[in-house]
Amino acid sequence: MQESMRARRDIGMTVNGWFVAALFLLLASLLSWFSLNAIRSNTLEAVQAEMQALNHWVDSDLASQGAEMTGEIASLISENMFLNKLAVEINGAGTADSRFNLRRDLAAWMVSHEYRDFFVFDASGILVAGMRDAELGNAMPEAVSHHLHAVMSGSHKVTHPFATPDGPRMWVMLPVTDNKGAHIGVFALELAESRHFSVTTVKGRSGKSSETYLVSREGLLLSSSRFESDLRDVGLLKPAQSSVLAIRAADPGALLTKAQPLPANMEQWPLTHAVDGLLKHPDGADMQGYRDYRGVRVFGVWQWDRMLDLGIITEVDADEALSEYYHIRNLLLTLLAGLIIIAVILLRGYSHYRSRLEYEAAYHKDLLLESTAEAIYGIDPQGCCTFANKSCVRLLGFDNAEQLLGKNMHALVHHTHPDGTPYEPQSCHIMRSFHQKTRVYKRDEVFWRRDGSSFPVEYWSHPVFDGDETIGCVVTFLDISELRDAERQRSRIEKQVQHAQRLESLGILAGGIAHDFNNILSAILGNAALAQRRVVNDPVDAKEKLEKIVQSCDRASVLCRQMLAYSGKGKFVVRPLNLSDSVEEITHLLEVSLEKGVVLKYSLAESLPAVEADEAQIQQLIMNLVTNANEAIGKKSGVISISTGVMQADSSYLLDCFGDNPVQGRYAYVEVNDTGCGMDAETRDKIFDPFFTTKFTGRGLGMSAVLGIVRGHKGALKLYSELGRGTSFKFLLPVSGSGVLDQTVELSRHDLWHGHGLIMVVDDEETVRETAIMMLEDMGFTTIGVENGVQALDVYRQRGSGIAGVLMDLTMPKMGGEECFSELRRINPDIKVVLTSGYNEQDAIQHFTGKRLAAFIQKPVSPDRLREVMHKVMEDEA
Amino acid sequence: MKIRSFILLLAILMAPLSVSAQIIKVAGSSTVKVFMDHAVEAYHKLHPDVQIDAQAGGSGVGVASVMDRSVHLGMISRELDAVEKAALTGVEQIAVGIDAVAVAISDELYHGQHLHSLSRQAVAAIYLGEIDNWSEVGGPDRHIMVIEKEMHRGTRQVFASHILGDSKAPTLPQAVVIGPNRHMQTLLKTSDQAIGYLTIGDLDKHVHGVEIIVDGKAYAPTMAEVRSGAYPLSRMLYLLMPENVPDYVRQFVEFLTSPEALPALNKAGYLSLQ
Repeated sequence: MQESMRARRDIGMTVNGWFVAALFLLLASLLSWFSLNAIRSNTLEAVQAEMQALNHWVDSDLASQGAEMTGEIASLISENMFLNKLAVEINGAGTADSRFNLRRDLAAWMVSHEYRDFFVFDASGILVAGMRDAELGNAMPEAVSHHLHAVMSGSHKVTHPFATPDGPRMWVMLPVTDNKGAHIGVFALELAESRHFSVTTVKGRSGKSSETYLVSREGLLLSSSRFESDLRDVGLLKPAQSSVLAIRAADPGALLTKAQPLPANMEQWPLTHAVDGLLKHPDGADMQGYRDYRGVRVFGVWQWDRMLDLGIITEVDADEALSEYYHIRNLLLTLLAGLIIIAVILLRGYSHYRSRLEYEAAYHKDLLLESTAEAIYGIDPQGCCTFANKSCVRLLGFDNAEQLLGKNMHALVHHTHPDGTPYEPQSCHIMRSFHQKTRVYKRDEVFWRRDGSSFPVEYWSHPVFDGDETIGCVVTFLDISELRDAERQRSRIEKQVQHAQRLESLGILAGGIAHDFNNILSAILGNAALAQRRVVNDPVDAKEKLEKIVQSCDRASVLCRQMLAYSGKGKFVVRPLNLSDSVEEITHLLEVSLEKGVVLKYSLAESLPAVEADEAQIQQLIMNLVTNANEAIGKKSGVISISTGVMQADSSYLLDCFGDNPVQGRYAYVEVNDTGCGMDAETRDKIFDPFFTTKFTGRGLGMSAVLGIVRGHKGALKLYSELGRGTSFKFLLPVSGSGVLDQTVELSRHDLWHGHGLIMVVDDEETVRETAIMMLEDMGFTTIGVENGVQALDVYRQRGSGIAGVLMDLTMPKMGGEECFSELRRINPDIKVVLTSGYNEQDAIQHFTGKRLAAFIQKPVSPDRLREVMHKVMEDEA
Repeated sequence: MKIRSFILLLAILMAPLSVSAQIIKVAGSSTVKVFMDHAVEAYHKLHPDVQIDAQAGGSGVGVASVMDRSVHLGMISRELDAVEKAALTGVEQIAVGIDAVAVAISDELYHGQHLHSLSRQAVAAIYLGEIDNWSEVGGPDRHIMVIEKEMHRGTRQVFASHILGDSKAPTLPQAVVIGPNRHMQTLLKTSDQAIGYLTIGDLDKHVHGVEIIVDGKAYAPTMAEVRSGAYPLSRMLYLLMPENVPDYVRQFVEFLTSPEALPALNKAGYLSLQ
């Protein structure tokens, strides 16, 4: 189950991981796509701006060259002498000499200003002077003659290149003005190649493919192409042929390559998109891409120069323009691919790592969980089992954990209390720990096995938190059957030890008690003899003696009761107790056990809060302390003072005390001080060890029993001792909630009570029976006495309902009290039977539990006690 | 691709600074510079790390620049005179080629008027202003337009010393004086009555060199004639190299004098010594 849960979680985690990775990659791709788009459009914008700048630059360069040329020529021909010489030639007055002089004058200027030839035409365009006399009389070349009119009107003209057998030529033409300002002819200079358009447009070349070129209205190139060698390769140009005027900027419809023949009908190829655009609109751009005259896809910008009447086009191969973009794109795609690979590797590695870690953690957890002797299981908020270790499965008597998983654990193993009453889920402490978010520890409940048997458990329930919320509980439990057995065993042994110790101290007491009894018996004997003698002569004196006998008997009775109480194997009966009363009750015992020179002083608090304690044990405790004190004083004279009281003990006070971690609070205490020899530190350390003794005869159990009793009552014991000065023991018992006990009022109430009706007294000892009859009659009852149980049954059968109650001894010949009681109950289930016995109550009535015994009176029976008991029994009847 | 450029970048960043600047400064004769330009182009392909800055200005500039050590190499296209030689102690004079000067006329005169040869005396007379019409030397009845180069030009000195007998002979006042060879080319090409002189490498189909008749013997301005040593109007082209130049300059000079530099020499229209 855990394995499968883990596996499911692993799968979930991996799926999650892949999902996150996919999302991440999708985002990265989207981001890349947007970035690439932005980069592309930015690149194109930059390229366009750059091309436009080139275009403008070439345009302005052309313009400034034109202005420069016309400026320098104008300044040349504006010289009067030169103008006169031209005028002479134009007016037809020139001679061979004058023309030679003109040539010679102009030659050096001409070549040094990058011109290669000059021509002087008259107004009709006939050559009147130039470098060669042979050409005189020729008409202006057709290619430039259309400018004649404009130039004669005063314009300056830079002609387009025009074809000649020696290659393209360019002229600059200016009007020749006479003295009166009239235009009389044309002065033309042929530009050296260094002044041709091609030289200017070459400056517009950049990168590997960007070029600026000029086109005429017909689409013919007016400046040389950057790709002349390519054009020659594909056959558009002859070897050594200039591209100027030879190439038409027309779209071949496909990329021209050396391998393929030129498409047919070259003259009918449409003009390129740029030229087409130029003819329609003076300026424009195309950044979508179009084919140029080589058939290559290019981006281009263009503008029309009105002055020169030509178009300026700057183009760049699309591939080059976008090369940076392609670069970035490829880089980005590579990065993205790398990222994917790395992400996949990392994810795989991580998931391996995670699963290994989890496997190891789970392995160790399982190892821990399964190897521990404690049974452990987990529950969810509904109380259903989420896991269970082997010990749990074994202890609950199941075969495997699957039989528990998903089951409601309370219903399965915790459904019933030890006494057989159902255990409601809402009061279950385990569920309570879940709801109250607290740890719970219990050791007084049982779990039920699969086979229906139960076993005592000690369990801890820990709520499991997820944040502030509890998501379940982990329950750890142990089978404490053996522990319980051991505890029982130990407590039995402890009791036996205590009992043995009590008997031991009884043995010590015996001498004193025998002496006391002797005294009492002497008094009784003496008084009885005197009374016997004087009962006739002096009844008053006899009555006095008899009263003394009664007093002596009282003393003896008290002594006996105390001894019985002390030695009795009375059950550990915890009830509210007044410590002062407890001390008072054993004063006789205490006194008789003291050495001669020892004086016992009491300082008992009058109203003490009650403590929850077993009286017999407390008395044994006091007895032991006093005996110890007595022995500490020894044969010398000394004082033992016993005081009681109540105090508030704080934790620092309790720290010095012996005990079982007593908690601070209100304590009632008994303190026993002696003026004896005291103890040294070594003795103090060992005093509570069992079998440690400083006496010849002791068995070393006294003080060990003292501490045992104090611990058993959750009390504390304070020891203070100084060698040679004395010892002080103080035991403290926590004050119970029931407050001060007061029995005196109740007692007085019984004094006034008188009963009525017939009481059957059953006792085999005649004196006892008669005494009881006397007392009962004194109370107003009528009586009938019988010797044993058999007679009692007979009488009861005869008299039946006339008998209001039975006072019966426990131990009788023929039929004992127990059997007789059963028989009487059979006759009348509601019969009121008061049992008397020399044994103490615990021993005597243990066989009558649950049999509705009306009361028990311990022998010897005093009139007061009998009255009290009879009052209670008869009043219940009423 | 990207990695390679990254490594290259690293290499550039980590390269010691000392090797970063290998510049060779050259100045002098424009005649030699024509060869130098072609040679630099070839050398740059072999040694991209070496930058060569060649400036024209004439042989005089070449001598002066080496004298004050403002350049690594001087270019001269004439012989050093005694004064210069004395001043240039510790400077090596290395011959790199031969330049030959042709007396040149336009295609129209050469082919059109069949004017193929001129005697040295006739050329001298033209340049001294004693003859001013082509008809006097067997040509058409046209004025002769005399084209001269500036005095300091190496070509002019070769021409003047061989034709006029004095390398510093004064220029004819009515002559058209121009500077660079290409201006001479332009004028000779354009004019049908001009006479000038050019290094034979600058002759083409528009400008032709005429045979020079010396002592009744005609010498054609051809490579073969020049290399044979018979052609009179020729000169040696030299480099001037101070002794203490860096190794990379010496290496460059070795390249210029090696067969590897022949194509450059030929492109410039000069002849190798061999």
